Amino acid sequence: MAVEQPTRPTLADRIYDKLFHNYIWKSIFRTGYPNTPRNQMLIVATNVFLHLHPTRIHRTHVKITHTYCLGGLSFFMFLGLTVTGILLMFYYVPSVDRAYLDIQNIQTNVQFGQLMRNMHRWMAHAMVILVFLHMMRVFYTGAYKPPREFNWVVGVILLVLTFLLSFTGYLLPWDQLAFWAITVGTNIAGSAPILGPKTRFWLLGGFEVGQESLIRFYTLHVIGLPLLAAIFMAVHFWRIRRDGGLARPL
Amino acid sequence: MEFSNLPHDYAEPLELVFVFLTMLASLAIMVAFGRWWQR
Repeated sequence: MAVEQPTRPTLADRIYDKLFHNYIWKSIFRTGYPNTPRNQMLIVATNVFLHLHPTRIHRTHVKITHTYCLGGLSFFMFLGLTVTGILLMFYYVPSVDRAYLDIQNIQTNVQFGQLMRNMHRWMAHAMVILVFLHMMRVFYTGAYKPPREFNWVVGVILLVLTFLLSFTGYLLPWDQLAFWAITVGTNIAGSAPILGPKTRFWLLGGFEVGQESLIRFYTLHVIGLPLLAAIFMAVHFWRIRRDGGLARPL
Repeated sequence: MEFSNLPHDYAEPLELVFVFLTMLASLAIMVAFGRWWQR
């Protein structure tokens, strides 16, 4: 009886191996193709759409002090900002002639306008603080470590998006504080080597803060960045489940 | 008494109180909805 000799991997095999059996690929795609009973079971059991709740929850995850709900509270702030932001959009026109007057109008004439604007302002501040605290919690509990490294990267992108949302919203009241804050902020970007001046020009739509900057910041603030943030949030929440729920205490 | 005519010292803390209460109320509504959903 002939003994089967182990065959040398072909070039195609080696390329396939390099592409799909590496650290980065496995951190993103947790279970393999569902061609074995184990993979089929894993895909069903870890699917957030088929099972809203995970099949198992560790005892420590029930305690509120495990996470302090910081991620959930950040998301709550995002929802509140979306609702109050849409209401503010009814009364705000991003034009240099009208922006400041529209804000005054919202503050003094519009029913509940002052409350809506203040809600938007304070929820924005709260979101930045909560997102930062959430990141600290994840760091100090070691929840960024494998198998959650991909979700950490998504989280860092969300942190940057939150800062950008905060930054673009700052110009919209079109008062002195807004004008000079954005002038200083974009000058900082402009002082970066090589790409600095281009970045500043791209951000402002010109050489100084004006109508082009206002419409640019407004568009990014109300549609571009929130849409990106919503997409990344969906991925972020889905990955929590995919990576086996919350991290255990160290 | 017009809220927008209140002296500045008054108006700002009062705004914060309203903002905080509205945030808590909306959070409470969402939590209540979540509990009803999972009842």
